[in-house]
Amino acid sequence: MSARTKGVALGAMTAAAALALSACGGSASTKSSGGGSSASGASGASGAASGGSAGGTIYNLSKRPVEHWDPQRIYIGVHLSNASRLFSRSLTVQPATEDNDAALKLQPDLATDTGTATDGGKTWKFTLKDGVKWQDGKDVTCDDVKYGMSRTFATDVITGGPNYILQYLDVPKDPKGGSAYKGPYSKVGQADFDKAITCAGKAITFHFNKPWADFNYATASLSAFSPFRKDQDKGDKSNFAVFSDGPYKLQGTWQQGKGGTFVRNDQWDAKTDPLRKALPDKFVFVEGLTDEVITQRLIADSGNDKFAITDRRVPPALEASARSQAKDRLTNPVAPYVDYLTPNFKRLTNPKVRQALAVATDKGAYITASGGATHGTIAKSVIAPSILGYKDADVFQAGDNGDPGKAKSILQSAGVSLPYPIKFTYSGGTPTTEKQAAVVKAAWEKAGFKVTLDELTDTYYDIVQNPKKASTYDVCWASWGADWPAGSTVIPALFDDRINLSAESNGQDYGLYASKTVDAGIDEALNKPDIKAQAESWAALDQTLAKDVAYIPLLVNKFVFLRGSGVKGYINGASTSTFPDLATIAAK
Amino acid sequence: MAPEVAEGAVEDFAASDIDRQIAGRSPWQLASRRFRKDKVSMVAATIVVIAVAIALISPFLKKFGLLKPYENHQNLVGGIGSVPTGSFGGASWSHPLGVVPGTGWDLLARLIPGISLSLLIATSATLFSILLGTIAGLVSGYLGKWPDFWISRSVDLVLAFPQLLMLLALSSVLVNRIQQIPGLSSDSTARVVYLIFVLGFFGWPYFARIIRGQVLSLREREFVEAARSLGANHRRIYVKELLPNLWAPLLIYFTLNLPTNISAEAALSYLGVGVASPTPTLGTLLTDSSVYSGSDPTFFFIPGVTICIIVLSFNLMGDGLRDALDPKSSR
Repeated sequence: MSARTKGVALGAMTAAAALALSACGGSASTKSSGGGSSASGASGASGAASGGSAGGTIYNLSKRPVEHWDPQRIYIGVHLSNASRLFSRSLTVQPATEDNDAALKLQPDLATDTGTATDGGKTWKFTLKDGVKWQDGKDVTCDDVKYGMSRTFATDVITGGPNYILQYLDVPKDPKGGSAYKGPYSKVGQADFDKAITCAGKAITFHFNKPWADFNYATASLSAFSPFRKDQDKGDKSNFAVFSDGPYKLQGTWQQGKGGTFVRNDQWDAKTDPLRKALPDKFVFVEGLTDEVITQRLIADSGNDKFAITDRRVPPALEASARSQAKDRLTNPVAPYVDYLTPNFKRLTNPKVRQALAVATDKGAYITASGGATHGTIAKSVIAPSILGYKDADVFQAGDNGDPGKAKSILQSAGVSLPYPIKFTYSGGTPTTEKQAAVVKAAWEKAGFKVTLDELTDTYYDIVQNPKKASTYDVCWASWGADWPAGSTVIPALFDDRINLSAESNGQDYGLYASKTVDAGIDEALNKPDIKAQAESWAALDQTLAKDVAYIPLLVNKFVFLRGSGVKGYINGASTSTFPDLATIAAK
Repeated sequence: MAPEVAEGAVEDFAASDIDRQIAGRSPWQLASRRFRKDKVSMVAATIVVIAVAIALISPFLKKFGLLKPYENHQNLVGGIGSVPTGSFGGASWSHPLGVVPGTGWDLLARLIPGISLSLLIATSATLFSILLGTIAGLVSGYLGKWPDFWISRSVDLVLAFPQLLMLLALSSVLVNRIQQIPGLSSDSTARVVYLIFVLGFFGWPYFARIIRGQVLSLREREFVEAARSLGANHRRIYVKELLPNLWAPLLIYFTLNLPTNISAEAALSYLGVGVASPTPTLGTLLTDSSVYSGSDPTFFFIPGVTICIIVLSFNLMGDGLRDALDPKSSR
């Protein structure tokens, strides 16, 4: 998922990123079948997380308006986590914990266990629990799960969400390479889909066209695999029409740009749900605030703000006051997102020019501009260090601050005239992003480039994902967090041209990177049923990408979060991409 | 000039004494004498002259590498949240006003081009207002009848616009349009043009009203009547008869309108529709610094104090000019 967590846009950033899992810690043993525990109780909240009792209201202060509450369309880390914790249950779930290893131990949620894989990972089977109900009292059935998955195939209506299911599910392809199944609205190819996902009573079986070793991690981290009730589906109009099977339901309507209130869903039965403690009576979401306002309110800690949390980071300018005045309420977790730059392969076709850019890039200055060591560490790969498949991919060894002299000589040997013009497009809108872009520019200019900054705010995705407009920039800023802690949610998601590049969209491949070698390597890796063996392939592919300068890594993000003094059960765990975990939070 | 006296009649007097005592002075000379006697205005004028001088030399300083507004000094900003490590915003001999948090850019090296760009915007916008306003005011005041009616109603219309809202609403559309003009494709250039255009456009009605009022009284004066009866055409009356009598009000309102535009540039930058950081203007510097009141007070105060001093100086100088040019105004 793309996380566009960038400072600037903060929250907003849309990136899809961040999926939840991502951050996870190193031992990603994504093993599949049978793995989880039978969930007795959410695994313990560590540290600050303990405590809390029922009642009260939690206020969630945010900046970027939620774009989708439709489970099949959410792809932004914090929104995925919040939907999962409040109203959209899925087959499996990751526990609420700050322990990275524990976060990887899947728990069953709607299912009775964490799934059983057979046929080398090509077939998956889950059995649904009894007693899980929708907010109108009807049971959550196998058909609801199946219907939810079918919606992703309606790519003309259900846009924005992850599309893994399209690549994996064993449904024939149409002549253009897309799926022959066109979703539940047109019903074209419905028979093929009905064969690929079958229901027998409470048991649901998935048939894939290639091994999907970590499918149950996908169901845990992406709400696209959550059930959806057919009679509640109004297509695009369901975007904010929350229909809950979790502990909370939407009160009234969601007002985009302002927010909404979630209240208890009396049809939710705690006995079916070991994860969600559902302590507060209400969650009030407020959006459209600036980071500065949110931070100042949280520092002041008065009135309802005592019970406020946020997914927005403390801006560097306010960090010193936050640390001195609200030290006990500040957390600084390592986030799953890596900021990186992608050269546009349609424009920067000369490999030496790309190498010169990579060597000239001053990551140290970028980190300082981001707010210093509490906001991130030097990235040496687009894969975050906590993810299975990470290996140092610093192939040019230019040091933390880059080497403008060496870069200049590479550029001079490239046979281009200097200064070489570069248009740098980035997701901006905050003082921090402006500084980040400015220091990147300054370092490149020392090496013989002439950089034009192109700051995008709300239009960032419209531009970088639009094939007609993407040809306008030479280098693009991006940020990505793995959907779950495996290289398979980074390398193919960002650099496989076959799944990203189409006439309508660039997907996540903003640099328009397309390499037959890398595509072949991706296929080879994905066909390995063993996650650990896959990891080696991802690390090897990563080296190839780094040598090709398919990306220039900048920093591994760290978040600085504040919360109100009345908030209890507060966790920044890998399961929620280190955003506040609403499963354990309490206002009393 | 000395009065004409009969030749020979003045032999007893030293010629120089006469000159000193009764030498005639033009209205401009009189005004200049009055202005120079006013100490507050002189101090303000000195500051204005310094600011303008800074603005003029800034491009040359940058060209010769003496000003490096974007040079990183990462080692100077090691505090929490990348604020400067040293006291007073990291001030030192090499960075007399300290450095910018996050990047370590030298604040003085950004303030100088910032003053330059802000004055460029404010001056151009004011001149644009004057141009539009003077033409409208002259035509409306002199011709009267239906041109006066329509121009006056347009003035009312523009004044009735919620100016700030219009600025906010129009910004992205207009900036995009401007960017499509060849040569203005960069975002910061387009925004400078946008600001000049929009601030200038919303400023003209004030000038138009003032000029119209002046012209209404001037057009009934004998010298205009005389010119008209001698058959002078409109152009001649505008340019040779009316305009020369309008310089004083124009100069006064120029110096009073300019600081308004400096403040407006800063406010718009804060609202996100002005020039965007990191291009330095007084507005972007102020916006950048506005969140640092707690963590880096030096950085917080310097841009604000600079704007305050410049705006105040222009205003005081404008007041002084008005007093000097209009002897009827009481002091």
